[in-house]
Amino acid sequence: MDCSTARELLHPYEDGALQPWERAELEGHLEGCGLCQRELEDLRRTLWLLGRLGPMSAPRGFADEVMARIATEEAPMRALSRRGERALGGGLLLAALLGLFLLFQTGEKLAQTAASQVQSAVQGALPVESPSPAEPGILLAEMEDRWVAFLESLTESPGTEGLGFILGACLLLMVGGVFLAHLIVTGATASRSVWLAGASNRTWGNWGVPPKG
Amino acid sequence: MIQPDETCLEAARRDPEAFGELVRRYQDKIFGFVYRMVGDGEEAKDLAQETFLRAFKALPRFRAGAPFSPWLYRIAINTTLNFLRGRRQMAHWEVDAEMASALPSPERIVEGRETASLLAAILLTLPEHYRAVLVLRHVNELSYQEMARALDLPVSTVKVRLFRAREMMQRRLQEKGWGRE
Repeated sequence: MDCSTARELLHPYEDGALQPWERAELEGHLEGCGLCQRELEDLRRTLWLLGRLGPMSAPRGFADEVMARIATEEAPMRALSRRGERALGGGLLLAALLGLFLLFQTGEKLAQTAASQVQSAVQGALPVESPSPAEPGILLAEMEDRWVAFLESLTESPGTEGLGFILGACLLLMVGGVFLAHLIVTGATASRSVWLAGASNRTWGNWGVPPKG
Repeated sequence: MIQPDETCLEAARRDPEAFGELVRRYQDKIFGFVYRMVGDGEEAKDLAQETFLRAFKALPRFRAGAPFSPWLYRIAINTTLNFLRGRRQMAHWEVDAEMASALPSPERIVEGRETASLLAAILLTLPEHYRAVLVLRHVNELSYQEMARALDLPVSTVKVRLFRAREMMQRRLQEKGWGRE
């Protein structure tokens, strides 16, 4: 072992962090090297001095002040969170009402159009020269074709009613989605929310308030 | 009976009073670390409080089952180093060679509290990352592994940094006549 390696090992040696074989090797080197022995003495003196720094105590009332700060800083966040939830709820309610309004407004007209399509399908399927009723299979197939054609026309060129209907349906879907997501998130953080809600009315027990002055 | 940190942490997620127990448990260690890093009691108190406040706010992100103490030390280290960087930039405070040269020689120093305060002053003249390892090791008495976790560094890097920090401290002490006789 050379002196450079030995000097580096002196520190973990003094910290008790050497493997037994490293320790034995270093001690073997120290026995025959006065320079490294003096290095060790210097290091021990420095470590002894550093040890004089010693542990410290936090000021009196420190923990109470920390807990009071936590109580103070959490309160506005809780209020902000509640305001945010109220705003979100209001927005969702408005969106749901608008969606329902659009659906009812446009749905009635669209239902009338669909009904007339189906009615004409029924009439078209009836044989003109024969008073006997049409085959039920032919009638159903014709009604289905007309219904599909109606839905295709709605998606390809929706018109004002169609657009209103789609917008209304999207709004309701969005409200449902946001509501579901909110339920999932609040469910995941339920335990935290419980104490946050309770903490607003809590006096913080024996934590008290930070001592003045 | 003293509850383990993990039990207190679990409880603290539901009830802040349980976090109060952790504050009481670590307040001396965190305050001691910060005080030796900044050298001012009022600033140390603010920074130590800030450390616990940040830890409390970060509790939901704390990985369950992980050891609490290195995580708390890491917050304290980051909070303190950020503060010291800000102070250096503002040039509001400079602990420089002048401070160290003003120290009395060992012959004039009596045993006890005075020695500690003079040592602390020399410590403040070291670069912050050297100061941090010395304080963690000699004030907080952390092992190499604990220091590595707290500093988020490999153990080998911690060993090298501690070696250099002690050498620098030793040189400063020798300059003041506190070294070899």
